[in-house]
Order: sequence, then structure tokens, then C-alpha cells
Amino acid sequence: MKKVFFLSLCISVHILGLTRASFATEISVPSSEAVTQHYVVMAHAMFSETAAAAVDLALATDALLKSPNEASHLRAKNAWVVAHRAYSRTEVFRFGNPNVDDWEGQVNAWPMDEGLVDYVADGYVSDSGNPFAQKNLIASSSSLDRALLRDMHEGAGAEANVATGYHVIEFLLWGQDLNVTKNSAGTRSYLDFSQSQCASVHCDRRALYLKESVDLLLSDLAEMVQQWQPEQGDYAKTFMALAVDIRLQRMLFGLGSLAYGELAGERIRVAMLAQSQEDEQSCFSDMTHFAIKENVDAVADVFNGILQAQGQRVAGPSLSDLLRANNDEKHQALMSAFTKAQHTVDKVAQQAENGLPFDQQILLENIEAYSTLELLIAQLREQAILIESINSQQLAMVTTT
Amino acid sequence: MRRFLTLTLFLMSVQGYAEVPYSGGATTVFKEDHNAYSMPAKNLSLVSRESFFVGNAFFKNPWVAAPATVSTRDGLGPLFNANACQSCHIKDGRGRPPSEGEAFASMLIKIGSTTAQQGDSRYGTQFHLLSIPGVEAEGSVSLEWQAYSWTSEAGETFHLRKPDYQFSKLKYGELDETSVFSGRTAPAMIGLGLLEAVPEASLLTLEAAQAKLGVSGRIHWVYDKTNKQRVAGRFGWKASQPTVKKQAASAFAEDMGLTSSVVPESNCQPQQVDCLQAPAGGDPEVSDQILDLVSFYSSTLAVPARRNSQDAAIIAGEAKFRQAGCNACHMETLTTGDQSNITELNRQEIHPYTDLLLHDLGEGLGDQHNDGDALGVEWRTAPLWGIGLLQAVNGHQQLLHDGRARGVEEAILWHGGEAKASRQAYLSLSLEQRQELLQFVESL
Repeated sequence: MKKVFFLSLCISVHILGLTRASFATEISVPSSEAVTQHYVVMAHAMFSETAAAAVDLALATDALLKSPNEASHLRAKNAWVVAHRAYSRTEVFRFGNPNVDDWEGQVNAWPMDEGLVDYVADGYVSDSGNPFAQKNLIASSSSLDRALLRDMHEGAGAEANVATGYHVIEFLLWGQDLNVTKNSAGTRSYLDFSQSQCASVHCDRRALYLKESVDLLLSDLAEMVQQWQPEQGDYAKTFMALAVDIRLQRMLFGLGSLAYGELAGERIRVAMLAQSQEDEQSCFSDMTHFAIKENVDAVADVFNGILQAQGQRVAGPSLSDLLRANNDEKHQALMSAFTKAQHTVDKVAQQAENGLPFDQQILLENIEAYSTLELLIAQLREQAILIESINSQQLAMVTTT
Repeated sequence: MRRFLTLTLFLMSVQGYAEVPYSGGATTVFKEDHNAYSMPAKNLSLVSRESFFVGNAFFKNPWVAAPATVSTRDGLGPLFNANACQSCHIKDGRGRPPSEGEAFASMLIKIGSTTAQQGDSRYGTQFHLLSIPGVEAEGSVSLEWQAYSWTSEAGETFHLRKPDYQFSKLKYGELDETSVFSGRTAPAMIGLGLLEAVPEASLLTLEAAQAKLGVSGRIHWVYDKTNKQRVAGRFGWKASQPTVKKQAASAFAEDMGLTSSVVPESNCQPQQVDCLQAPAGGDPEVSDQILDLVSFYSSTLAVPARRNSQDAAIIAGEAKFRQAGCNACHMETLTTGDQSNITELNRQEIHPYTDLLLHDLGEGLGDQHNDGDALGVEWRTAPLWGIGLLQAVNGHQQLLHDGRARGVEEAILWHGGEAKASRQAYLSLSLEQRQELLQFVESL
């Protein structure tokens, strides 16, 4: 019975394949040139959206610092979540593009020895070789300006010295996640920013640190928006000057690397293997599930050439169009791999929203959530294998009809 | 086509390696900044990259004392030198001796004995400066540099330095009179899997060939408990470990106090009762899966490409390097076999500038510290690939096992024993020619 079913499935897929293929020749296949141009357009749109979300974050943190209270604190935290979700989508441009790789460390480094930045609770674990692990810049006498933050970032050569970027801001807004209850995130009080009723010490310097780090983020993002400005940006020009198959290769390599090595590996499997709450990307806010979801969705969106940025639909010629014309069977397999992973990641995000954050989903005792994550890893692996099997030279030669 | 390619490669190698910046073959990356040692092998597949990234996290993130409420990454110590691999191999790079007033971080101290005994009777073969809460550390150590003037046969004097270690607050009693100490900096992590993939037969050939060149490198044979046979040691300052995995397991055990299936013994000494009684973080503490991932990561860090290999001065320096016979031991080219499970590492022509053999470098550098079959005066030829990027990655250039050499020239000057003639050849060069040779080494 099973065999028969499988056979009929094959036939129907095959027929479907033929129909799709003949259909594809009727509609125009874009040139690989146009596909890479649209990639730049998408990068520019996504980084612009990220920069705009960071402006909202800046407005919200300014409001928090001006009048610290429950509501302004909550608004700032929500703005961080939105801002980091937008950023997470842009990570599809990592790995393939050296300009993004050289830059991302100052924007999204994690995990961090947060004792570098602010006070920490007893039992704080840090790298024994890191001389700055308990430096507490906020409590120090150093002048908290951009130069210092840049200087302290990866200070003493230790990667755990994260002094700038989203996760520093996250730490300043949420504080350490001490798991007051099983499902709770960091519980920093807004009074940590209050100049009149400072809950801890150095509230003035904490406010300054927050302001400086948000400002640095804004300028870092502005630079990336400029770099991807179609036809004008430094990197946009560099990228478009490459041979078209190399451009396609960078695009594919970036998508595949993010999906499997970075996301499935470093961001999901490490935490599952370590069974440790320290090993999640957004460990202060417990918002890691959003970063995971945005990574998964953005890989599919950029491959398909269609996305939403700042409420606008951005659509154009895509890798998907080229692959469909080049190898319809592989195209269908990849489309189905995208759909499956998106379905699974929605479940992961939903579970977190329902009160089981990612740092609980990874625990062996949460059998269902744990197996959902395992499934997601397997699906991302399937994606990566398919993406790796796409020959960029063949795609580059798909002719315009 | 294939034949043509082979021919071209052959011609290129005849003309000189300066034309081949690909130090690690197809694994080579073009990276010159602080991340130059931290990249995955260029040819690593997307699927293999997942293991690389996961291994990297376990290399980087700190281990904690057992029992941790929720974490498989527990079992640290009780006595240890570092709680993460990255603490010593900072940015996957080379450690250094502490500066004045600084604590020991990326260098540790091995203890040997002038007698037949293994290490110190109370402290064993390695001094541990750190401990978990509830267990006292072994004590403190400070480093003082002793000035050491060395005059060449031609009457040229150089001002070198030698380390002197002072121990205090010793918790388990005095050190033996017969104990001797050797500082060991953490070596850089690049290209290790390639070195493992060089066939043992090639090392045997090198060993035989060197007898004719006036140097006498020898394989450090070590016993492989798993396969019950003797195998060539390749890793560590004395080539004491045959594989990356064994090296990783021994570092977990000795430096971090973490047991594994490869090294199941605790690093506590018999009289260190509180150490022995502290809870373990599982049996073993490092699971096979995590050990394999860390080993995979450690095997697949790319070698960065050479820079400026076509500069006239560097080409001239390369010729001097050869004339001085440096390349008799710092072998320019080796070829990997096809036995590695990591297929990306197989059949690569590589330029590590090592022969992986032990050489007698003389009493000046000797540490009276026998390690397996390796004598105190014997050291494994250190690979030179990537050495010119040390400044960019780790911000220093303190070379040799204990970081005594401040730069390449001082390292050359410490070469006695079998390397004496090469040092002599270096010293017979004009100042300008010496600069060229040094520039060549810096281009690696």
C-alpha cells in the first residue's frame, strides 16, 4: 500500500514538474544579472527597515531615560524586540558578503561577559582568561564615550568582551536572566535608570551607556544602508562588479550558511547539547525565538525575491526563478523544504509566546518542544544540502527567454 | 586537463613557493585581520560548517563547576588553568606570558623532574592556578625575566631574556628540590587537521632524509591506547599527542580538569583530598559527542594565505631562509593523504614550515623536562604558517614555548643544537639580508 502510494506520488510530482517546467518557459525567466541586482535592492530595503526600527528604539530609550517608569521601560523593551527582529532578517546577507561579516561583530556579538558593562549577580560565570570580565564600565571612572565602547569591544582580545550592539542594549534594558521563575527573563527595574530614585548605583552612567550604545548602533546601521544603496553604495558597486556567477555564489553561500551552520548549529543545537540557558542568543530578554523565526523566514524570502520592508512589498527577479528554469525538481524540493521549516519555526515561536521560552524548549525534559527543535534542525539541514547542490555557474547561464 | 594542472603545480613548486600563497591548500582563507585564525576551512561544505560552528561554541564558552542545575557543560576542575579553551587560545591564536602585574592566563607551567620521577611528588606534572569554589588552588606563581646576554662567535652581543618562576602560597606543601619548571604558551589552532592528515609514511621518509642533511629530526613515537600500537606524535611543543582529538582530550583533562573517554582520569593528586572529593560533572564530564565536535572545530580552522609573497625583498629573504638551511626542519611543503574522515583535508599540498619531528635545540632552550620520549633539549619544529599575522590576531609576538623570544630574530637566536649551523648562517648575513629573511618569515 505504502509503495503504491509512493509511486503515484512520484508520478503526480513528475507530471506537475512537467507542467510547471513548460509553464516556466512561457513566462519570462529573468537574467541572472537582474537577480543579483534585485538582491542588492532587497539588502538595501532590509537594512533600511532595520535602521528605521533602530530609530524607533532610540526614541523609546530616550523617552525611558527622560521619564523612567513601567510604561516607558516596557515601550523601550518592545522597541528593542522589533528592532532586533528586523536586524535578524538582514543576517541572510552575512557569510557571503565580507562587508557584512567584518561589520556584524560590533552590532550583534553574543554571548557576552556582561560583567564588563554593568553589575552582575553572585555566581556570574565568565571566561577565566578574560581580564575585563568584571570590569563594570558603568561603575568605573572611564569616560563613557563612543571611543571607549569601541575600544572595549573585544577588549584584551577576548570575544566575550561585548561592549557594543544589540545584546548590550538588551542587557541594559532587561538585566541578567536569573530565572526568578522558570520562565522569566531578566528583571531589571526601570529604577536602574532613575536619576532621582536610582535603584542600584551609577544610574547616570547606565543611562549614558544606553544612550551611547544606541547611538553607535544607529551609525553602524546607517553605514550598512549606505553600502547597499543600489548603484551608489560602496559594497553595492563592489558586488555588482564581480562576475555574475560569483555574485550568485555569494548569495547562495550566505543563505545556506545562515540556515544551517549558524542557525541550526550555533543558535539551536549548541543550546540543546549544552542544556544551558546561557547558550541562547537573546538570553536577557528570552526573545531568541523571534531571531530564529526571522532567520528562517528571511532565507526563504530572499531566495524567492519577495519580502515586506517598512510596510512595502519588495518583489523582483529571484534565485527561485533561475532555479525553476534550471532544475524544476530541485526547485520544488527546496520550496517544500522552505515551507516545512517555516511551519516548524512558527511552532517554536508560538510555544515561546505561549510561555515556554526557547531556553526551556531546549531542555530534554520538555520532550515535545525539544523534538520540534530537532525537526527544525533536520529541515534546515535539508535546505542547506539543496542550496549547496545548486551550481551557481549553471544558474548564471540560464538564458532569458 | 588534469595532467596540465599537475604539471603547472609542479612547475610552480620548482620556481618557488613564494608564488603559492595558499599555505593550507584548498582550505586557505584570505584574511589578515584579528579574525585571521578563526575562519572555517575555505572548502568546508555547508553541512560540515554546522559541526564547525557548534564545536566553536564549546571551544569558546566557559565550563562551570559541578553540579550545575542545568548544563552539560559542568565538571570544571576542581583544579584548572582555564575554564574555556578560548581563554588560552585567544581568538584561536597563540598565548603569551603575563606582562608585569598581570595574572597567568594563556600560559601554564609544566613540572618536570631531574630524577626519574614524573613531575612533582605533590603537584604532579602541571601547576594549577585556579580552582572551583570550596577547593583551594595549588598556589601562586610569578614570572620574572632574567636578562641574558648572548655573544655570537663573531663577537656580536644580543640581549635576550629567560623566565624565572617564583612560587608562593603553596597549599600542598613545598615543591620537590628536584622539580623543574617549563612555561608553555598555548599554540595557535590553525591547520591542525591538515597536520594530522600528513601520512605517517611521509614523516618516516623525512626522518630518513634528514640524516643526510646534517640534522637529525626524529618522530616522537607515542603509544596509542585505543588502537594498541605506537603512532607518531604530532601536537604540542614536544609532539606528545598523535591526533587533534587526543590533544583536545588531554587539554580538557590537564588544563581544565575535565574527564573524557580518552582521558578518564582526574587531574587531582593523591593527597589533594578536597580535589578528589569534589563532585564530578558526569562520567565522563566531556561527552564523546562534545569532544568530537571540539576536535572537528580544532581540525578545520583555516590557514590564512601568505601576504606579499611576490615582493622582491621577501623573495630574497626566502632564498636566504633556504640557504641557511632553515627549511631542513621548517619544511616548506607536505602533502596530506586521503585517510582523514574530514574529506576537505585530504590530498592537499600544504606549506606548514614544519616537519613535525623532534630536534635537539641545545641546552639554552632546554627545560630539563622529559616528556614521553622527548628529552628536555628536544622540541618539535614549530609550524611557521600564519606567524606573520600573530600581531594582528593576538597583539604580540612573543615566540617559543615560554614566550621568551620577542620577535622572530630572538627566536632564531635561541636555536642551538642541531640548528646551530643555521643560526650561524643567519648571523653571517648582512643586516639588510637578515631583515629580508625576517620579512619572509613574517609573510608566512
